[in-house]
Amino acid sequence: MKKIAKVLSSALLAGVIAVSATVAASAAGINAAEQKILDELHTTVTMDGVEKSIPASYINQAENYFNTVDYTEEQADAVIAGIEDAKAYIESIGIAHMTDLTVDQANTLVAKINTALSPVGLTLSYTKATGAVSIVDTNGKVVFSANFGSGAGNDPIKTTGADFNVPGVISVAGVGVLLVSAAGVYLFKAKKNEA
Amino acid sequence: MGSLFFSNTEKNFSEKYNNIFVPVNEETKPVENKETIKLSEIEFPSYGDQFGELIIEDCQINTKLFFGDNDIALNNGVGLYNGSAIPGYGKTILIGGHNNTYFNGLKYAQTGQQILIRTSYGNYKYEITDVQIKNYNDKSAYDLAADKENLILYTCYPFDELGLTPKRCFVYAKPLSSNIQIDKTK
Repeated sequence: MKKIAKVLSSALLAGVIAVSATVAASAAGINAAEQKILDELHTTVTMDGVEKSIPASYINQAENYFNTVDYTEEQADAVIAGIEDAKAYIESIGIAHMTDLTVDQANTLVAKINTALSPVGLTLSYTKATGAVSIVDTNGKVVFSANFGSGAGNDPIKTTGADFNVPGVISVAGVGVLLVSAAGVYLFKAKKNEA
Repeated sequence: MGSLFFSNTEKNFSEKYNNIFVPVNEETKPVENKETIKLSEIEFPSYGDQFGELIIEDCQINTKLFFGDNDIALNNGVGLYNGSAIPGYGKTILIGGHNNTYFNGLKYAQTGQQILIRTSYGNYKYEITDVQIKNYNDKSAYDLAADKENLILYTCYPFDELGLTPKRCFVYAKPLSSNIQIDKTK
């Protein structure tokens, strides 16, 4: 549940970025309309009396994306309206943390995000095994990415312990997996014998 | 799973990526008579693009620089976290690389050494100010909200560790010189 809630909080921003992606890529730089969106992302949402803000790493991703597109005032206003709608929904359900979302509330947010993504041809994906969240355009280009895995390798610091492009490392890893598997089978059998 | 470990053929982890890096001469400005360049005049990298190279001669590092730090980037060079900023943008630049390949040389990193980042729009020199070992989830290791240009390189620690490790070696650097700065206005 905790992971789902974290995913949703990032997905909200991803959804905003996705809605924003209706414009064609053109001039880089931040224009006045895009700055209005960034300013809105810097505002807080009040959850159970406590103000929460979007992590700088997510806002930077939005800014980097805005540097590849060009927005009109109308588009910016629509995006800002979407942000305010999401904030209003979160505030209206009275949760203290995103982890407090019920399954139904989580589903509602997912539906909102998917509705926003569908018309612009973007895809939000979440890999439960790794905790990775990403949104890509029709060309497969990543627009937003985050990772909420529980171990080393979380955003923004990645796991850089080994490049598994090295065959020798793969062999070592393979042996390791076999040993662990063998140990698991042994323990299972031992417990069965004890029963 | 079995085929991964017992295949006779070498696995190919080097998927294709887009390369937008065209080196500029280190001694000349990429745009004549300009101290700054507008964002609209450069090709802003997309996720997964190779957009430059990173060189630390004292550490024997000379590697491709990617925008984004996914597996393809880290298997072919080092990756700039897309939640940080590109060189010349005036914010925090966060770059990671594997400890057994492209960033293995960070074990030689010392205060005062120079780092060169070359991109298609300009070249940027930084000076190492500190080297620290911290946990991967230590938020004090970086400030992605900083409005002052600073460079942070990191890799897993210890340097000979092949598996998962919670420690990271962080190398901090300040801007030294550049031949062009980015003008963010349109």
